[in-house]
Amino acid sequence: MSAAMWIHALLWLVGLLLLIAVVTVMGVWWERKFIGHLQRRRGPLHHGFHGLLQLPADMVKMISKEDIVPDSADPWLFQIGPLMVVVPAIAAMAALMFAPGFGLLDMNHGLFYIFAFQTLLPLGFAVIGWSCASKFTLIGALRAAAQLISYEIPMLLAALGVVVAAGSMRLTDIINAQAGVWYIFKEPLGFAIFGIAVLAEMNRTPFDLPEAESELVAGYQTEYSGMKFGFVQLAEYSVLFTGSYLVSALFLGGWNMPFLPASPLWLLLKIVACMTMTMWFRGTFPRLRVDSLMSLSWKWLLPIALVNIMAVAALALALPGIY
Amino acid sequence: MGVVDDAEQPGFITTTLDKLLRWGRSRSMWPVNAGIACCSLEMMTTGAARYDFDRFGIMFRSSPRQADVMIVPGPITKKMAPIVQRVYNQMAEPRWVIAMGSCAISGGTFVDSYNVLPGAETILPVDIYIPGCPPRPEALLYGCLQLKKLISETSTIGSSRKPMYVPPVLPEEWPLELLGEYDALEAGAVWVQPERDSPPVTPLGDAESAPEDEL
Repeated sequence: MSAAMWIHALLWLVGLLLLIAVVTVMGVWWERKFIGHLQRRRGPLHHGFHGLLQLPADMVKMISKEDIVPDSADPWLFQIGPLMVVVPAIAAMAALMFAPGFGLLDMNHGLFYIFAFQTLLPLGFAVIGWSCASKFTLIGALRAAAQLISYEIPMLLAALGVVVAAGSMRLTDIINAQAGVWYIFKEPLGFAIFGIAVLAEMNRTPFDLPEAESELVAGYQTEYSGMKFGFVQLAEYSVLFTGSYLVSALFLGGWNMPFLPASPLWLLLKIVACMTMTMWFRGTFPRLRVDSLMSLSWKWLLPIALVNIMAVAALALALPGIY
Repeated sequence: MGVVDDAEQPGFITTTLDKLLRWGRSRSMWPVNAGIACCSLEMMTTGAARYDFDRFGIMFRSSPRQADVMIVPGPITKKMAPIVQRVYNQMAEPRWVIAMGSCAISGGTFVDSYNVLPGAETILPVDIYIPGCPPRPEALLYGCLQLKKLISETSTIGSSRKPMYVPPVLPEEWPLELLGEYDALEAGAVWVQPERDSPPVTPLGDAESAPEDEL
C-alpha cells in the first residue's frame, strides 16, 4: 500500500469514529426529544439549547462512574463483552458508501461484508449475557441470539432480491441501479420483509425483547455500569445507523432523488427518516411475545421471502430491461 | 471555567476535571426504577407527561448498576429493608439517596409500628429529604433540583462522601429481633408469632390484661 492509501484509510477511520460519536449523541438526543413529543412531553430541555448538552453530560457521568465487575461474573468475558459488540458494529460501517467513490472501502461485495459483520453481533450479546452469571442477562442474551439469528435469514433473502435485480453486491452499483425507479416500487414485498427483519436485527421496538425493560431488568446489559454500558449503547446506535443506511441504500434509492441531482444529502436525509421511523415505532407499538416473534419469522417472513426472491428472479429473467 | 484570551492562541476554554465531573453528574441523575409504596405513584406522575423528569435529564433506569440516585418513596418495612439495602449496594458509585415523603423521613404515620423502620436513614445514607404525605410532583422535582445543586456544589476531591458499601445490618428476611433498638419492642425482645385462637400480641402487651389508658 502506498502512503496515500494509508492516509486515506486513516482519515476515513477517524471520520467514521467521529460519525459514530455524532450519530450516538444526536441519535439519543433526538430519540429522547422525539419520543418525548410523541408522549406530549418536552424531552431534555434545560441543559444546553433544548437539551443538546444532555448527552455530553451523560457521557461525562458514565465515564466517571464506578466500574463494577460482579463477583460471580467471568472476569475475562465480562471485560471483552462490550468490545465484542462494538467492534463488529463499527467494522460493518467501513463498507458504507456515501456518494459514488466517497467511502472507506468500495468493495465489490460490500453488502456481504456488512451482513457478515452484523451477524457477529448476537455472539457479542451472548457473551455479554453469559459472562454476568445473572438470570436476567442470560435470558436476554438467549433471546437476542435466537431473535437475531432467526431474523437474519428473511433479511438476507430480501436483500438477495435486490442483489438479483441490481446484478451486483457493490453498494455503489446497487444505488446507481436505482437512478430511475427505486427498488421499493419494484419489490414492495421485499421492502416490507427487509424493514421488519432489520427492525428485529436492530433490537428495536416491537422486537426489543432482549432488553425488555418490563420483563428483564435491562436485558443482557443489566450488570454493566459506567462506560461499558455506554459502549453497548454506542454499538446499538451504530447498528441503528447501519440498518437505516441499508434500508435507504437498498430500497429507497440511496443518494438518488427523482427530478433532482444525486447528492449525499438525500442519503443522509433518508437515513435520518428511517431512524426517526424506528423511534416512532418505539413510541407507538407494544412488544411482541417471544413465541409470536419466532412464529412471525419462521412461519411468515421466511416463506414470503422465498416467494419474493423466486418472483424477482423470474421477473429479472422475463423482463431483463425493466427489472 | 474561563476563556483564555491573553494566551498566544486565544480562544481556549479552561476548566478543571472536578468542575467537569460535577457538571456531568449533576445534570444526568438517573434514579433507579424502584417504588416502595404510595409515594412511588407521585414519582411515576413526575416522570410522566405533565411534569416530565426528562426535561432535567432525569431518566429512570431499571438496572441499579446504571442508576445514580435512589429515591426511597415510602415506608421501609423490616421485611423490605434488606432488599432496599441490597439495591443500594448494587448501585455504582457515586450515588445519592432521596428520602421521599414522611414515611421515608421518619416513619411517618407508621413511626410506632412494629414492622416499619423509623425513616430511611436507619439503613441508608440519605442526602435529600422531601417532606409531604405524599409530596406533590412539584415537591419531588424541587427536591431533585436541590440534589442537583448539592452535587454541583460538592467538590469531588476530598469530599466527605458516604461510605461505598452499606454493611447489611439486616441479614435475615424477617429480622425483627435484630432491629430491637429501632423497634417499639424493647431492645433484644423477640417478636412472637401469635397463635390463631389467641388475641393478637401488641407491643403494649396483652390486649385484655393491659390498662385501658395504655391502649
